[in-house]
Amino acid sequence: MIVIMLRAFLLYFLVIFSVRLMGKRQIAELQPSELVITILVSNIATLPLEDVTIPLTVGIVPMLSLVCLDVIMSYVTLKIPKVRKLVCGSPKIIIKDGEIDQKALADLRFSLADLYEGLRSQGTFSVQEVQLAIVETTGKISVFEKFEARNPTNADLNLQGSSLAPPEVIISDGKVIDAALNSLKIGMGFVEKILKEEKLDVKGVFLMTMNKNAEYYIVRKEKK
Amino acid sequence: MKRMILALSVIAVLVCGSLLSLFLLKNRSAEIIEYTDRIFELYENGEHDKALNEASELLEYWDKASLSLNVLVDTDRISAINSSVYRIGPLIETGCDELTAEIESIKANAKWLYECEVPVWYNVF
Repeated sequence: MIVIMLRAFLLYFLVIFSVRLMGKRQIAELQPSELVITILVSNIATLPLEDVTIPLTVGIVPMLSLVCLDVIMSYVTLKIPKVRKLVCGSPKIIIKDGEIDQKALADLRFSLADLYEGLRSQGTFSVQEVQLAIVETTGKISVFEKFEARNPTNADLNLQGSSLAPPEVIISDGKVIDAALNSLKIGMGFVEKILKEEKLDVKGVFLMTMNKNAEYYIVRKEKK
Repeated sequence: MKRMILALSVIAVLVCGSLLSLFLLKNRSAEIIEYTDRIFELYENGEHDKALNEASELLEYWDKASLSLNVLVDTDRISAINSSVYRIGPLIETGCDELTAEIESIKANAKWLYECEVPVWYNVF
């Protein structure tokens, strides 16, 4: 079993190396180590499943080894930035002040089509409108538009209002969610009073949401 | 941090389990090799009845040992020994000259059972 464990550890680093070698554009959304775990665990799990002559321990040992190694690696990358840079890479600026950094683009092996696809997915259709575009370690492009292209915020328009937390689901399919009641600091009696006003009982509610201002929304359960 | 402690604990358990399994494999394979050596010695000395007795003891031991070995190693490696162990008794009874080959085969497979689990570079790569 210790051989399997060592092999699993070796494979982990090997696949991380391969994924890092492939570059950011291959990753899309996942961190390299997460992608490695996804690839390896899914493959390892199928081995003892497909072949009954392989003991289950042959699947369990590498799987647990890899997952634990990943937890340890994520802790190490958190504590040591150099390791993080090595495993996850670092973000790269590809557009600055509306100008494309062609060298960075070539390093990342991003074509113009890839770049425009990334920009469009962020709602930007022109390179000139971009103040800064960064390719994140996950391969995603983050865009910061120039002042003239940026949407005005409420603060820009001097609009007054309060920041209110979104409404919480307090009844879901006839069941009261205690955590939501605690979060809103209301008791069951308050909910029952509202339901009484609406001529409903808890079981007759499909969805009930409420915000901090006690504004609620109810969807009745459809009769079958 | 809790997750980290849990991960380290799991790794520790896996290492201990691996070492324990290695110890178990070493024990089992050494025991099998000892049995086969005794059988061969008795057979060579012309004590066929005693050799037959020893062979049935080996069979009994193997039946129990193979159960725990099934959890640790591939069934293929166990069945390789299994078929040879079951053939020893009839080979002694008939005085067939294939006995030596069969015993050597059991010894080699039992040795291999342990050796391919030893964490050395040629097993890892």
